[in-house]
Parts: sequence; structure tokens; C-alpha cells
Amino acid sequence: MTDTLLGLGAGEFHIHMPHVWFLEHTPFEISNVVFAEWLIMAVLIAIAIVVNKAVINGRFTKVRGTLELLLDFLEGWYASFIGSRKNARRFMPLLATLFLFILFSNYLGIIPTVGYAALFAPTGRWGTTLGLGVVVMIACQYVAVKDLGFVGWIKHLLHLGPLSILEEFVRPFSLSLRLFGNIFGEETLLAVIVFLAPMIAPIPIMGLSLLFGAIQAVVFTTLTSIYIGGILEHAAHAHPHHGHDEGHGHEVAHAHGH
Amino acid sequence: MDPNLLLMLAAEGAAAAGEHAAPPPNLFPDAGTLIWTVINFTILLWALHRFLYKPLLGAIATREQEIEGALKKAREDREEAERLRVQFESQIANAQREAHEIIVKATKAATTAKEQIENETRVKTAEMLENAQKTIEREKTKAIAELREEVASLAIAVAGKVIEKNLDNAEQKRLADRFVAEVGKH
Repeated sequence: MTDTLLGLGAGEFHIHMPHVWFLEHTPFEISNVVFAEWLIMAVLIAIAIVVNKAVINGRFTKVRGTLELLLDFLEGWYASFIGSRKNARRFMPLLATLFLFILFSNYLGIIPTVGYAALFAPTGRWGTTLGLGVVVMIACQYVAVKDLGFVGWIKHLLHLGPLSILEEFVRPFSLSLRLFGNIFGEETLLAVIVFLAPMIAPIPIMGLSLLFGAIQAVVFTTLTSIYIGGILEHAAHAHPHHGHDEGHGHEVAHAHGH
Repeated sequence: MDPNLLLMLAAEGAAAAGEHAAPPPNLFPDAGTLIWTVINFTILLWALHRFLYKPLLGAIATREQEIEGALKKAREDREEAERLRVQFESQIANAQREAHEIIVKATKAATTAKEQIENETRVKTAEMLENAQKTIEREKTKAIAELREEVASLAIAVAGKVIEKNLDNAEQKRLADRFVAEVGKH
């Protein structure tokens, strides 16, 4: 057990820290955090495949209905920041994946993990949230280039001088620190409460964590949609003929990692 | 909880743990987690797009179109029904008016026919009556003439026998005529 021991009281208080399992000292270290991410991915992809099957068979299952309701709600929510439902639908793959990933990740931390280091909320690590922040930043730049053109993108970057470039680089940090701080704090609080009173006391905190986990997922994706909305607004001013009402479907889905 | 305090506590804890001194907890992002997160998220994005959003949002869009189409069709159907209702109502009104006209016409025709038939009957009856009277009159006149003839010849025969006297035809005729005239007076 390489979990760090904090010297509180009898020395039994655990804060689970990442434990590298493979490829140590390389940029591709596989820790229990990465493993937890894979677990979440596996669950989400399994749900996606079940839903896909339901859609192909034309059946309305509970899982499908739940996800339809959720996606519809999220689309309506993001539409109020992006400008229109059509635009929101264009960015739904990015926003909904962020939402689901962060939500499941946050909830993974609520499951009592005493002694099971594998079940570690990935969003409780800054590395994870910064990775997501970087994805959002790249996605924003991609959308800006796509909708404003290369020159438009440079203009967009410089519209407040160096300050706006700084802003672009600050965003992933502000996004990631907010999420990481909340979830890490929550986990720590839970760990402290579990340490002090293991049986009943953690339950209300877990209930609150359910709420906060969802709120943090909404906050992260809402800020992302506000950033994208800013770019789209810029694009609408630059090219009044297209922009807001262009529904490019899934282009943005492949905006990152390339 | 203050992260600095946490770090401090952690460092103390590590020191207290003794021989297998674990490194102090590093709250800063490690390259491995960051890089894996970007890779994992990209894969997840692709997979969810392929298996979740594309089919589900596609199905939602299709359903929206279907609902819109159904609403449009329902609206059109209602308008069509309204149009047909108005048309049928006017047709029914026309039919009723025509029926009424036909009845009126038929009644009129029947009345006319009745009057005509009555008139014809009256005229014919009068004609027949007149004819009958004429025939009766004629028959009566004829009968009287024949009777006269008969009576005249009888009288001549009787007179000839009684007086046994040969009279010439002219004398006979004169006598007979006188006789008949006398008979006619009675």
C-alpha cells in the first residue's frame, strides 16, 4: 500500500494518492487514476452500445429513455449559452461526453474506497481535470479556426491584445482547478468523516456529494459552452450570413487529439 | 482544508511512517494522468459519438420530424375535413332545395292535370249528352215519320178495302196525307 498516511491521531487516516502500476517514469505512466478512467469509459461505452442496440431495434428501453431525457435537458441548457438548440446540438458530443465523464468520475469518488485504491475519482486529480481543460482549449481553438478562418482566429486571439491570448491559456487552469479542488476537497472531507465516524455520519455527506458531483459536471460543461458561445457570437458578427444557424453536426466530435 | 496544511501533514505522515518513506503526496498534475486523460477522452468522445449521440440524436431528430409531419398532416386533414363538411352541407342544402322544387313542380303539374282532366271530362260529358239528345231526337223524328208512313199505308189499305173504290195514286196520296194530318192533330 503506497497510499500516503497522514499523521492524524493513530496514523490510520488514508488519503488515497495515485499509485503508478506500469510504465513508471515515462510520460505514459499507468496509475490507478488511469485505470479508473478506463473503468468509467468501459461503463459509458457499454451503456452507449446498449442504447445503440435499442435504437437499431427501434425499442424504447429505460436506459434509452433516460439518456434521451438527459441529452434533451442538457441540449436545452447549453442552448441558452451557445445561442440556439441547433448550435447546441452541434456541440453536444463534446459537451455531453465531458458531462458524462465528469459526472461518472465524480460519483466514483463517492463509493467508499477505503482500502480499494482502484476506485479513485479521476477528477480528484489535477492531472485529469487539466487534461480535460486542455481538450476544451484545443476544441475552442479548432472551432475558432473552423468558424472564423485562420485570419479570423488570429484576430479573435488578439482582440484584446496579449491579454486575450493569456485568457485562452488561463481557461484550462481555471476550469481544471475548480473541478479538481471541489472533488478533491469532497473526497478529503469524506475520508475525514469516514475516519472519524465510519458508520452513519458519511451518508449525508455522500448525499451532498451526489448533488455537488452533478453540479460540478454542469458547471464545467456550462463554462465550456460559454467559451464556445463566445466564439460563435464572434463568428456571427464576422460573417452575418452564416454562423449561428449552421448545423455542422458532428465535425466538432473529432476536434481534439488530432 | 488548506492544501498547504495537507501537504505539510502528509510530509509529516511520511516521515512518521519511518523506513519505507513514501514520497510526499503530489497534488500537481502528473504528465501520465494528463496525457492519458486526453487520449482516453478522445477515444471516449469517438465511441460515444459513434454509439450514443449519432443514433440517439438522429432518432430524436427523426422523431421530431415525424411529429412535425404528423401535426402538419393532422392540420391538413382537419382542413380537408372542414372543406368536405362545407361541401357536403352545401350539397345537402342543394338536394333539399331541389327536392322541394320537384315536389312543388309535381304538385303544380298534378293540379294542372287534374283541372285539365276535369275540364275535358266536363266537355266530353256535355258533348256526349248533347249527342245522345240529338240521337234521341233524331230517332224520335224518324220513328214518328215511319209511324206516319205505316199509319198512312194502313189507312189507305183500310180505306181502299172499306170503300172498295179504286183511286189513282195521286188521289190516294192526298187522302193519305189528309188522314195523317188529322191523325197528327190527335
